[in-house]
Amino acid sequence: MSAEEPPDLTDEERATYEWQMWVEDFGEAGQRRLKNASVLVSRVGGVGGTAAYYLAAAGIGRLVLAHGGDVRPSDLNRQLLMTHAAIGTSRIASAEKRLRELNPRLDIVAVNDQVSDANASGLVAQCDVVVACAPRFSERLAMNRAAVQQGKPLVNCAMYDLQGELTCVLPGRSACLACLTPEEPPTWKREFPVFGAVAGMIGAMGAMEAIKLIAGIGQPLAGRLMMIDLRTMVTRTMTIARDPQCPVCGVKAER
Amino acid sequence: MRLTIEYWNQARSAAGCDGETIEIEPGAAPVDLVRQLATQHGGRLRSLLLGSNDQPRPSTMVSVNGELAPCHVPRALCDGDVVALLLPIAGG
Repeated sequence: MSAEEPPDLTDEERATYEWQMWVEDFGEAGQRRLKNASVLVSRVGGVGGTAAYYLAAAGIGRLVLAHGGDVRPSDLNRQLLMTHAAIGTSRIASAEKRLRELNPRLDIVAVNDQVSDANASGLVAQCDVVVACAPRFSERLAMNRAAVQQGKPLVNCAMYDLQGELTCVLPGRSACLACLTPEEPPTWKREFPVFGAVAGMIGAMGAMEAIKLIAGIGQPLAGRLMMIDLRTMVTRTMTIARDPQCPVCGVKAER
Repeated sequence: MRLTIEYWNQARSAAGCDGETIEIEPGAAPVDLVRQLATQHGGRLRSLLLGSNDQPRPSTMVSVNGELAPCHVPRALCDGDVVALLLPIAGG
């Protein structure tokens, strides 16, 4: 979403994205915005892999992807960018390969590492929107800090068991992740129960939030936390206010 | 007074149910509710909701009628309130 005029679409792009350009408030102008936009997705496992896949399918111009480590058998119930043949090899290479198969026009910056305090600022600087999908709070909070500091919107997607959660941070306008969870909660464990279909659901919704933010359509989940339970098919959306004492976006942080 | 409780994510797993209806003293605040539920259920739910000082953990999240209600902010619950109890999750 650079300030420059979004680029024209090629005939191939018009043919590829025809059906979504029929969405009335999106159209060719929205498609050009997607082509001109860059999104950071980290990690690209179950949730992030789905989000990245749908962003690639939608014609996003550039994806900045961060995910370290090698593919394990236990990844394969949910991480759809990884393949059985890739077990023991780099996850980010497997993800990049699958995304290029889907969209060869896509520009990919593939980082074979997790997001941390050391690299978050540089990664966020390369993108217009952040989609946070990491299984550790330290990574999500690092992306949140950098996004708030740089004024970049952040979509937070998370899952557990048969449930998913989604919220959107508009820096300076809505609660940030640290307003909800200022530090790593001791109750969260890195490995958790989940089905791949839950990852797909919440990842696809996260991709749609990013598309809405880039194209300027609909109402993003800013100031709201949506929870979905696929066990009961119940959804709840709660309002979340900014915390004036938030160490990242509160009054103290602005001094 | 009577409240409807909904458990989400790890709180649901620890409580062993989607929700329940409970009685609590009139004028109780979210912090009182969290302590009561932790005491009633004990075990894993208690350790998830309360820290070693028996105070709600900073990560314990409560919403009242669809609005996040942090435990450290004083607020009186009302008869008939629907209260959701959840913990931060980061599954990706």
